[in-house]
Amino acid sequence: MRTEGERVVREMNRDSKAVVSARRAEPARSSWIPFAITLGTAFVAAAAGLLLRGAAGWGVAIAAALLGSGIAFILTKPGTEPERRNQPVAAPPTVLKEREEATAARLESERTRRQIELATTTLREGKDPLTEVPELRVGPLHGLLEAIHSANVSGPVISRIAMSEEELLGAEAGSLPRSWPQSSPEDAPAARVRAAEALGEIDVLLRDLEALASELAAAHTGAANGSGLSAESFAPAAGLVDALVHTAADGIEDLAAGLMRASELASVAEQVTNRATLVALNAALEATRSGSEPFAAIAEETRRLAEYAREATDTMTRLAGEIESKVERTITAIHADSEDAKRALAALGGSSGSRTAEPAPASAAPGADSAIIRSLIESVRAIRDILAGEASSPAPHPYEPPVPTR
Amino acid sequence: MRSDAPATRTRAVLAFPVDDVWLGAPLAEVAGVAELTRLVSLPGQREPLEGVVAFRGDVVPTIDLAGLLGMKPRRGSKEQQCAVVLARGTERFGLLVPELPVLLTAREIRAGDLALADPRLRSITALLVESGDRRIHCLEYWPLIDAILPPAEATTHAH
Repeated sequence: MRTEGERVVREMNRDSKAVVSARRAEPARSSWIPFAITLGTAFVAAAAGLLLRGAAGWGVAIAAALLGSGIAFILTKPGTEPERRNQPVAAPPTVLKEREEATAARLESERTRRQIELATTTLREGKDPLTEVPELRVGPLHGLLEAIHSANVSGPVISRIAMSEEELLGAEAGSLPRSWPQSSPEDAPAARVRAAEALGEIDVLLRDLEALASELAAAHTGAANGSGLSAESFAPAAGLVDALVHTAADGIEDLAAGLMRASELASVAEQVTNRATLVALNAALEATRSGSEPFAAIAEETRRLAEYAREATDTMTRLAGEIESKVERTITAIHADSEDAKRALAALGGSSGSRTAEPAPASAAPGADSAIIRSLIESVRAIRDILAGEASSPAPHPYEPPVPTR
Repeated sequence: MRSDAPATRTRAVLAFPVDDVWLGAPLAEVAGVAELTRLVSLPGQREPLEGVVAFRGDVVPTIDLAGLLGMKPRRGSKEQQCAVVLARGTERFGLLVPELPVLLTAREIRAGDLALADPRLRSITALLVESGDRRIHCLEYWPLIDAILPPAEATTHAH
């Protein structure tokens, strides 16, 4: 797998080579041209002095000298500011190349270390690194994580790491800086220590996985035996559902009774409104009959009051009717839900063997989970065995695979 | 009140719908409007008598006007039904109407041509007034009432 770090290293190598070759070619080109021009102008000036007499000879000689000096000055003057910026640093080409390669290798190693930490953390949390951390889907750990994910740890996983490491180091691994871990006899104990630490972490992971598998198996066994909802526990559960439903239904029926009372009150309010309307009409009759303006004003106010009371009563009646219908629907829904809950409980109780009902579909899930966990445990054990062999044997390089592939 | 009395002499008309026509009573003939909740049936009463209604301390006999005229009663809500109490001297008589009446003042009405009155009511219409597109028939109620419930002196003479 081609990683981003490898691409960066290749590009940096190519750029550094171009810069070094350009720097080498520049002094050779700029050294002989001004010399040749100066020599040519000197010859021209001398020929002019010999062939032409008097002021003309002097003039031609001076003009040739000025022209040659100008050309030589133009060719030998320092470059412009952008050109100077593009000039390579005054360091030997080999040192420059080493620095670039060392920087790229350091970046890549830092990235690999971060991916390892991420993968370890995610595995300790019992999650799948490939699905949880998108960054791990690309990189040297991808092969290993994919193998763990598919529970198929084999040789290619390790060789995948080796290949990535080789690609990371490149063909010119000998030019890496001294800080880069080299295979030396002094590094072997440290490598064994790191392998032992990794083994310890894998052991912890194994224990967690086994505990999880045990819990799942226990849950699955309990569900299969009906321990989750036995025949003895079914009756109290059904009674509890009944009690809950009855409590809710009683509360809502009380509310409905209150609403009925509110409807009665709305009816009373409507009667009062009708009477107010009638009073307003009679007041208007008497006011018209008598022709009294104050009486007419009072009659008008009474009419407005009756209209206001009519609007309020209509709104109240409408709202009471809406709430009443909603309460009725809620009561009906509660009773229906109660029946559904009883049927569901009966079905669960039937799955325990004491009742005839279709088995609960959730009972198959723990078994499938257990199989996955067992497969994962086997894979981690295989990795552990490989690492155990690695830790017991002297390792010339901490990242060198046990079986090189190329 | 005579049927040729001009509408302009009427201060106002109390109008109410019965079946598909509008009926009315001049303000001078109206004592007021009574709630129908105060209507009490009488033992042995006959149609179109509906019972008696309490109105300002009086007990007022009430008739179903639609039934009396042979019309279909308009189906208003029970709460909207009321009795228009007519007055003749000290006499009171109630007309059961399906809806709350509307008071139309003199400015809102104009005199109508009796020839345009509803044929079923033309013979008993004393006054026809118009308000907007409504044609309101003010009937001669008391002869009708007298025919149903004769005045007290007439009853005494009969005995």
